[in-house]
Amino acid sequence: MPVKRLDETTAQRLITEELTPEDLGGEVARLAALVEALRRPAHSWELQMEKQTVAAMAVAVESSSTNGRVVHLPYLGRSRMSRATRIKVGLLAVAGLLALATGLAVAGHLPEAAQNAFANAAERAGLEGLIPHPEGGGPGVLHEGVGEEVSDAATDDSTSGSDKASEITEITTGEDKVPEPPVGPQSETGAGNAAAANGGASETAGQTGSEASELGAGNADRRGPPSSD
Amino acid sequence: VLEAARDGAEWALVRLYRTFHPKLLRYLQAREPMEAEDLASEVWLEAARGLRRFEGDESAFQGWIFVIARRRLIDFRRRADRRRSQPVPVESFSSLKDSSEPESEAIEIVSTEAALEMIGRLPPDQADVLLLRIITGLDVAEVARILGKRPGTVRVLQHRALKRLLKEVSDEA
Repeated sequence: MPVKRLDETTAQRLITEELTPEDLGGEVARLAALVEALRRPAHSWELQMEKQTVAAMAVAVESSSTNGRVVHLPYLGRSRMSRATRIKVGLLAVAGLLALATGLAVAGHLPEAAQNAFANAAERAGLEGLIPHPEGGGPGVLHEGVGEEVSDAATDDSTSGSDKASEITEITTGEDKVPEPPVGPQSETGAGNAAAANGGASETAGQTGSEASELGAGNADRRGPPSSD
Repeated sequence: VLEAARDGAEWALVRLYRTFHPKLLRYLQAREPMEAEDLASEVWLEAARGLRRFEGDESAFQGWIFVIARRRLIDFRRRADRRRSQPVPVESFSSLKDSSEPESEAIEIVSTEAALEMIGRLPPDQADVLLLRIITGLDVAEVARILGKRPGTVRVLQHRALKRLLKEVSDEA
């Protein structure tokens, strides 16, 4: 007579394989079939990772020490550092580099180009004077209003060409003395020397004072506030 | 076998794997179907790392790897911070027949996958007890030790699990 009720004894016998579906009837037989399904021999797909897993196990056994201490292998599947941690470390490194570069820039120890770039950036950010421009170059070399002075000197009708050249050189370099201009036809056409003193923009002799004035105004545009005519 | 496995003998590791992996995989499959393979691999690696420290026979070894498996499962769930709240829709019991097996009129043959799926729908405690008792064949005391429960609690959980399964089987039918 097949058992059709699930009492505690039947449950226990079912679990311990003392009862099979054949011994049972009704729904209990279905339950026994379900329990039996869990005990089936291994399917081939259940062992498909055998090679890889056993190889990894062999390495793990080898690398564990014999004195009872276990050496933990690095997890091969993923990076040990999480993505969030990697991002944080990266940001910290960038912030550190930036702080170091800013410190060097404030102290004026960066290479000329970098120092100039930092000084310009600081000025644009409204931090004028915080980072000095490098010596011998950049906007910081010329004091404020130098463009206006150059413009005034160039348009001054009371001085001759060679005097204008000396004056402009003095303004731009801060030196009191300039070499004596060479004696010759060009010395009388002061505009040529004035142009030479301003970077040799014009080598043509015979330029008029107004051309020198334009040149001076141009310099004022490049190096300082616009000149007021 | 265990002695050779401790020395890293590949044949011994293969033997252990073939003996216990299907059981381990079935247990994990019922509890966490999508992650069962990965979790099983982690269990084996952890077992291999601790193999030299392990003392006991093969039955104890089986209990040990299921302790590791359960710990891994708990860690995984804690990490994922989620529980299976949307069970797979119940298929009709008759559709869960294993087509590779000869069909019997009196007893319906159920596929292992279908059985695992049904047990996976039980409350976790009940599923653990039933899976460990049926798949590993461990006795109540051993299962109680693995789960950190009293033997009496394990017996009660086991009975409740079977009754619940029976009800589900009846409903399906």
